[in-house]
Amino acid sequence: MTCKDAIELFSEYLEAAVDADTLAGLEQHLRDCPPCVAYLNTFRRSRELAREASEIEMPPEMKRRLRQFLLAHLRDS
Amino acid sequence: MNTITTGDPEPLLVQRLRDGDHGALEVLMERYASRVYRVAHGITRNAPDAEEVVQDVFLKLFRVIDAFEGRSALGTWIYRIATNEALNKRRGKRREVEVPIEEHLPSFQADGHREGDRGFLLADWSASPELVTLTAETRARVREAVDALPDPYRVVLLLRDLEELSNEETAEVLAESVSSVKSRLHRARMALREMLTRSIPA
Repeated sequence: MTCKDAIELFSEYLEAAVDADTLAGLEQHLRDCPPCVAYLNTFRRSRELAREASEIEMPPEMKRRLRQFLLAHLRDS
Repeated sequence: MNTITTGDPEPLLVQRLRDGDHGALEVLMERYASRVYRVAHGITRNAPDAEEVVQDVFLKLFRVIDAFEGRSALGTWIYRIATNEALNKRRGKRREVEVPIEEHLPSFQADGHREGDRGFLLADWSASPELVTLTAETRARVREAVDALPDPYRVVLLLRDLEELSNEETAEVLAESVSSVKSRLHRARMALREMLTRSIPA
């Protein structure tokens, strides 16, 4: 298994969706390949960071405006 | 895990909406407004546009509820309307030229090894203590990286990794095949990793 092959599997690996044989090959590769281990760690962390950094709340003011908007427009329907 | 399910109240909600019950819309708002906003903001990349999208989505929901056949979960349907409205809003704006995804992806040598100098190949910032609690600056950098993804890649990343929809739900939202979603998601994640590895100091 090359690094390219391994990296191609990382999404499935993180979702525990790799079959047993492929998993064995992947884990063997990771044992021998520090760059791929670094890649996997940062790949995993990137996903988490995307979620953490994008946790955006709808401001209460905006919810109020939404309610007012809908009230105004639904009156016509 | 934010799996969308059709809980017991939802068929009743849908019926009440069809009957023109504004109270049902209020319940939907409580349940979904934040999620719609988050998706809209992720796609349009700015709060004023995202707010307009949210308003248009809920108005549309109420008006087209008769078209909802109940074949998918209500939440999936709402995400689909939200995604489409947000993408339409994006298309309507004059935009900077998007960098093709290939420029953000790792490159490989003929023998399958990743390209790059040793330092870059071994860069592992995943356990950096500075990332345990995100500073405003890091948060901004991560958002910039997500925003830099071309729209089709950003959308699938938002739905899967932020909204935590499944591959199947995402495929339904986008009206695509699961394999198409999976392939694009993986490329989006790879591109994000490359960008963050360059912008976050090791």
